[in-house]
Amino acid sequence: MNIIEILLIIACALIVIGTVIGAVIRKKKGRGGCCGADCKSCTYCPKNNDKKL
Amino acid sequence: MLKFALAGNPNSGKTTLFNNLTGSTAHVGNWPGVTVDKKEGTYKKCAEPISIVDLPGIYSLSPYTPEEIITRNFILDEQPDCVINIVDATNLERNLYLTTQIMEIDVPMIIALNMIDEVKKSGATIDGKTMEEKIGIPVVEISALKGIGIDLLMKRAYEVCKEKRKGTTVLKNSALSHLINDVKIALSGSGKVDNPLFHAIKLVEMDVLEKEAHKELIKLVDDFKETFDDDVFGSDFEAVVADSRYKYISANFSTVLTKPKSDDKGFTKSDKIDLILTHKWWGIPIFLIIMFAVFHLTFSEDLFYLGTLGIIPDNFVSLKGTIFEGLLGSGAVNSPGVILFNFLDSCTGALNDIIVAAMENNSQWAVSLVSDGILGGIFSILSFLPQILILFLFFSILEDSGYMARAAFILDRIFRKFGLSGRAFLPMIMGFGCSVPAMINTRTLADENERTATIRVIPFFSCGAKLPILTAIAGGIVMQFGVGNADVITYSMYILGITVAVLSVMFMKNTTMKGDSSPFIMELPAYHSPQFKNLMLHLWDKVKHFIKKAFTIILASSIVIWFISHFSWNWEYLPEKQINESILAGIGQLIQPIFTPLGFGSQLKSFGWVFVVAAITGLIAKENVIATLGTLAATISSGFVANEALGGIDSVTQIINATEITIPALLAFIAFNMTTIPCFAAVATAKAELSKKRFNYTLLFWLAVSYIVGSVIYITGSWWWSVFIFAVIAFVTVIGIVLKNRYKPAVKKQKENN
Repeated sequence: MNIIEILLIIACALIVIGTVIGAVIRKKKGRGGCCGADCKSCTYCPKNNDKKL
Repeated sequence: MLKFALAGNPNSGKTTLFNNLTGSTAHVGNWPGVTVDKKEGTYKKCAEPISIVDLPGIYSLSPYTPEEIITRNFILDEQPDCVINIVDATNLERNLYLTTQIMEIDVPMIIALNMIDEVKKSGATIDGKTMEEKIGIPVVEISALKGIGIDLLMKRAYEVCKEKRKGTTVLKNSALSHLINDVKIALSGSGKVDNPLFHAIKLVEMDVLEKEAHKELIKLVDDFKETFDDDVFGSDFEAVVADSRYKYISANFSTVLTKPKSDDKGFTKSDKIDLILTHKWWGIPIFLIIMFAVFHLTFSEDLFYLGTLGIIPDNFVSLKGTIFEGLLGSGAVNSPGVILFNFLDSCTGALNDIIVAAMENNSQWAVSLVSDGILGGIFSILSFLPQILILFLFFSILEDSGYMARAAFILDRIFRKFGLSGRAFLPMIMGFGCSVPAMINTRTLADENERTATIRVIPFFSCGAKLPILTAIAGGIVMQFGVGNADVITYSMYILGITVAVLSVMFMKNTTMKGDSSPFIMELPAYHSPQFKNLMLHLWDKVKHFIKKAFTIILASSIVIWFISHFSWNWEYLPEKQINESILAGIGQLIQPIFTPLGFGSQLKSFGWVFVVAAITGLIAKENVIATLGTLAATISSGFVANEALGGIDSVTQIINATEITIPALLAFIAFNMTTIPCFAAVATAKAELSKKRFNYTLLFWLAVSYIVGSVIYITGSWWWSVFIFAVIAFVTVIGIVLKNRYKPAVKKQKENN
């Protein structure tokens, strides 16, 4: 394997791992299922169940 | 940081003003209820940065809808430094109803008299100065759309926020003013209540939240009720208060506004257009024609059917032998979407050749990984970007002009018959763009059953990500079999999605979600020319989203697909002809039989598993379906030159050749992908919006619907299956009739015995 092929393998691994980690972080932050704005007074945010009417 | 809130009626232009102030690109639609939650941004042109909060549109501060609760809670609890009340100047009296309620809160406020340009254009006039004197609150005339008066509005809002303001009411001359005063004194006396005037009026109205919070004062209101009897409203205090507000508005502001020009019948220009576009009988055909025109301009390879009609001679615009070969059709003119698609396809092809040439000294696997895997995956969907943009440009024009709001009104007639209101259709229209915001938008539906049903059918309205599937397969069918037109196939599939949605709602409303649909009352916005800036913002949003996905999820998926399609279970690199021994083929072949009733299962040749694998990768992101076909096409096609990244349509054509799949099976494949479980992001949104039980049923629902729809299309499209199915139906019917006849006398006999 030459240097380009090694770099290609590393780049592919980084892209796949980075995408998966990025998706996990976004999910943990709660993005995707909510508007992404301030959750404090959002009556739909699961963290504010007590505020739900 | 100072915090200003934007509050006003639905479709009064709050989000347009928000975007103007903050430079944001929040979705703006010319229909009420686009914003269902608050959004924040920063305005930096004042002496100090100001946080701007865009609140959902509301008609009152009574807690009847989620939007009203969000807005009311924000103004009362978060105590913004200033409330900018956006008032639609073309509907002054109705908009001021909310103003009279915000005035009652102890918060600095300013009125932004929006759409002043529309008022002037219609020939009407509004006297802002007189209005300011009468209401006692600063009034600034603006046009959020055209950016008129924005700086002055913010300058005055900044001045206003520096001074404290006590709530004032327009109910001083109301029959309930004494009671309001008594309640206010009682609330102020406790010392624990902010905004006593607002709470006092709401308690007199018997607002549910106030009754809960101030139980000790309910008796005071009830005692007064016993002695009170209005000629019209009896002891309905909420109605009395509302009537008093409107009387005040009418008495004070009818002279401020001179009515717009109208003809003898009192029709405005918008009314006249609506007489045709929302007509009882022509409304729906016109809607279908407009939608077809949009698809024709985006996907047709025979624009205006000039070729079919013989107006364009063969090879008239073929440009054969030039670098523009393929940009225009032979004997016909391509639609703008197809021209741009062909152009981008040629560019990506040339780029691939350059990269492959540069890598000629590397191993075959490295060249294949870059060309077939990475470039094949990305290029196969990237070439569809122009068509996606053109389609959404047309949708944005229809939306901004106000026609989409009419579409909801027109389709309300159909949807209502099947148990859904036109209100539910608005999120569905958003589903044409992306299912995620569409599902969030369902929060405006008060009825939980209606909301669940709407979330379930939103994915049937093909989003931008599904467009490459439709276009590539439709293009493949036209190229390989020479039947139909790509625009007709794509349009039919969109209509199929809407039909499946209607049938699904019908089914749900008659089984698990019985109940009447909520009434649909929507104010139709006035028609106006779409703003270039707004259209470009919509498109830029699409481009950003598409590129981001292409270089993250789709790129990563293509790499993974390439690896598991080029390596065996023993992790040995496979020559291209042995792809059927790869890990991916093993997984695909295992699941393949399940899809036999849909036409892309066991009946296909050895590469048939490709369709199954593509459908599964589509669960991550729908673009992956075509990206996967693009990654695998060059490799599996016998005799095909490898190391050449193919455009989406070429990939499909090669795979059709290799698998010998039929047209009904290809249509079933499109329908399955359109109606099955949507992408990860949409599934996560559905999970957040629904209860756990309903979410689980929703997943099952999507799977069942897609399987049934795919099967029906394949079976009815394949005569031998049709004969078999009709035979089964006939057999079951005969058995049923026989059993029914045998059962009837037995029941009759039993009744006689009783």
